[in-house]
Amino acid sequence: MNKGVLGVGVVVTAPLLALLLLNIGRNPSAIASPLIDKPAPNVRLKNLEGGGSLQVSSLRGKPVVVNFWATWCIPCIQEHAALTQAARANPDVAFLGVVYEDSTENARGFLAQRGSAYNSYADDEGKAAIAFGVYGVPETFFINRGGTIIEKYVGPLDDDLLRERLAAVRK
Amino acid sequence: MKPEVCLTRFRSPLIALVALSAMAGPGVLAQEKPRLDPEVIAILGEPDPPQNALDADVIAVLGRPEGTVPSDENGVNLRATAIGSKLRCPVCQGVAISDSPAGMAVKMRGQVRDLVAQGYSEEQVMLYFERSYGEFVRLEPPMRGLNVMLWLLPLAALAGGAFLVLKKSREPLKARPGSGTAATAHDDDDDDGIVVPKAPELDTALARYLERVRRDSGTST
Repeated sequence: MNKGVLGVGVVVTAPLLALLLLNIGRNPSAIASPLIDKPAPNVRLKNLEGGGSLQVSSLRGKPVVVNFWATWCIPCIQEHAALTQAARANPDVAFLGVVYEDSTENARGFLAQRGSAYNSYADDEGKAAIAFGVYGVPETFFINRGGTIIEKYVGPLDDDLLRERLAAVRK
Repeated sequence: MKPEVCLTRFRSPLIALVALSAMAGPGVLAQEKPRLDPEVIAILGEPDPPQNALDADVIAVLGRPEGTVPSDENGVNLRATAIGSKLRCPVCQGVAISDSPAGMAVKMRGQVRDLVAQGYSEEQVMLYFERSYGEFVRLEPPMRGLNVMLWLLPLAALAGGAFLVLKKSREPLKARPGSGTAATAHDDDDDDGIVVPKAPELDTALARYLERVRRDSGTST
């Protein structure tokens, strides 16, 4: 075999193979958030019930958990109990729910039926979802006391996952 | 004493105004933000900002608008559509938000429109979305960092290919050792470097095959 052709083949394929091997086991649809270790978006969230709103920066000084959810999202329904339980057990942490691609009526109905230990907010214009770079639901952002996002978790959370992350967000 | 009652005692409107400011405190004439009752905030939350107020998050990321405010609705729509065609819909597969019917794309178009209407330039709008979604949100990767390779590598490959083709086309045609024709090939009398195999010197196996074909087809001599 021509040594030149073999050399070129190795040079082209070796980096591609290395890239493939390095990424085995990673979720191909998961894209790392550029917001990690950056200040949380200072969006204004509208109350689900009644008027008024909440500016995210007003929560500076305490750990914050921002959970994007929808009533049509089965994993969101699965994680709701764990989030409610965690919010009750951790009153020093501010839990916020943000309704994603769903109607206010649906969200109110869901919360009235299932109950919640924290406030959820409407995002009719999608500005909060855009600012946080949300791709789908559920997505949960963990923000430390300084207002920096330390993690974005994609998928349903359970008690253990929340315990680990709340310990990290308190540091 | 209620202000509306006591003000009727003052003859001059100017004196009444001064008296009102003294009763209400120093903030009225200076148009200071009134203090809100914490109990009201606890129930209703903070009041909504005025409709024309710039978004605090947008200001934190982009600062003040650096573009021009389009003169009319049509101008806003045209510019927003042009920018939307360069932004990737994050919930679709390689589609611009201007071409996607997805709910998230519709909301992103609304955000682009708002930013354009406030006078933010195209690059500022792109940067706002890039802050949240990363460079992935741009349909055209910008010429910076490793992306430069994306633009330069195809050009380099094209130039390399053209160079090889040129080099090969100028190279004299040489017999390859080990090939059927090369074993019996030799230069013809011309001194142009081109090797032409002569008919009688064809590979003996091929000659036998040709002979058999001729015999079978009845054209054998």
